[in-house]
Order: sequence, then C-alpha cells, then structure tokens
Amino acid sequence: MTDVLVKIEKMAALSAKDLRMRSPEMDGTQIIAEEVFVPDWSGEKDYSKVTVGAPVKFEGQIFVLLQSHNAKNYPNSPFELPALWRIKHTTDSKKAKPWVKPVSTSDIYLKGECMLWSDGKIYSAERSTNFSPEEYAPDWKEIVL
Amino acid sequence: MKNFNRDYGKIGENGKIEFAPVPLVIGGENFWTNIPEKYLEQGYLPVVKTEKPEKEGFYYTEFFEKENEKIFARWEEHELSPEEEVVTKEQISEAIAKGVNGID
Repeated sequence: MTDVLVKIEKMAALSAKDLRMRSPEMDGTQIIAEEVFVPDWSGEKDYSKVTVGAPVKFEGQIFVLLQSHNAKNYPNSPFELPALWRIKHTTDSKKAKPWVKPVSTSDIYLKGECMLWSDGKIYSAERSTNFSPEEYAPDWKEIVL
Repeated sequence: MKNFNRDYGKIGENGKIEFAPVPLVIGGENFWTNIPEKYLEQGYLPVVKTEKPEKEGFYYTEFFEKENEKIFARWEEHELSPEEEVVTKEQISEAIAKGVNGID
C-alpha cells in the first residue's frame, strides 16, 4: 500500500473516532452527513465499551447505540434489537435512506425527515409519522431532486 | 468562447499546435466552413490523430510533429516513479473503510 493510502486510512480512523465522540450530541441528519466515517455494524463486536450514542452502519441504514452490549450475545441485527440500537433518519433528501417501518415512537419519521420509498422516489414527512405512503399518503410529500 | 476545428492546425513558433479557429477569418470575413482548401490557404494542415498507448507503469503526453504537409499527433512515454503511482477512487474508498472499520 502506498504512503498516501496509509495516511488516508489513519485519517479515516481518526475521523471515525471523532464522529463517535460527537455523535451523542448529534441528530440523524448530522450523523448521516458524515456517514462515510460510520463503521459497519458487526455481530462479532463487543460494544460493551463503546460510547452510548455511537453510530454504526448496517444494510445502508445508520443506527446509534442505546445500550452497551456484546453483539456476540445477541443473534439478531440492529433492525431486530430496538432496545440496543435506534435507527436514524435524515432531513437531507439527497441522503435519504430506504423506508423502514418504525417499531416504536422513538424511531418514527419526524416532520421533514426523508426516506426512499419502494417506487424509487424520495418523500419527506409532512408531520411526524409511523405510516408509510401506502398506509397514509397525506403524511408524505414527494421531493424532486 | 473560441471554437476550434481540431482536424486542422499549425505548429506555432513555440512548437505548440494551434488548431484552426471556427469561424476562419480571412480578410475580415468569417468563413464557417469545412472546406479543406480554405484551411490549407491559411497555413493550417490536416491533423492526423493517433491512439494513446497504454502500458502499466507509464503515462503519456501528447505532442505534435509536422511531416509531409501533415501534422501527426505523437505520444511521449514517461515512466511512473513510485511517488507518481496512481491511486484509484476504489483504493481510496477501501482505505477509508479499513480505517473506519478498524476503530475499537
């Protein structure tokens, strides 16, 4: 590997650590804006010493840690572990993530947050909602990029 | 913005190519033409393009040479030194991912 790539790798690691430190005070939009520095979630990783609020990436979505734990002790992914991980959304339509059905009030789409619906279009929540455009269309407004 | 017809050119005093302007101005008159004679009258010669070579560890710069009333595009070969090694976008993305995923 060239010196340049080694430096990039080190800088990326520093940026990831910096983001992890700042993320507890950040909202979804701010974290997703820096998602290039969000590490992948791993089912083999021990998250018991990781700061609560630290973000991870899994299947294109961003989650933040709610409770420190060792992932080896839990067979499921962040999608199935809402007590341990919370999904984050963004108001930036250019960075909208595919729709994920909210499972609790803490992961609903807040007013202004965006998502990519199954028709390939981006929608912004007109009000805080846990309904999809299919379930209740008035809650969503199409965003033309 | 000035337009050029890159099929015709002349080698300037500095050794660099000057492509034929579009329109061609002759005696204050604009000629929007593709007629070769008009370019030849003004000293512009046909430009013969050649394919850029590709060889690992080397890069190429284009230059032009006049030969038999034509201008030939040639390629000068330069060896890449280790400092000039090309880093691809994929390698950068991989390095970032490695750094990010390597944190405790």
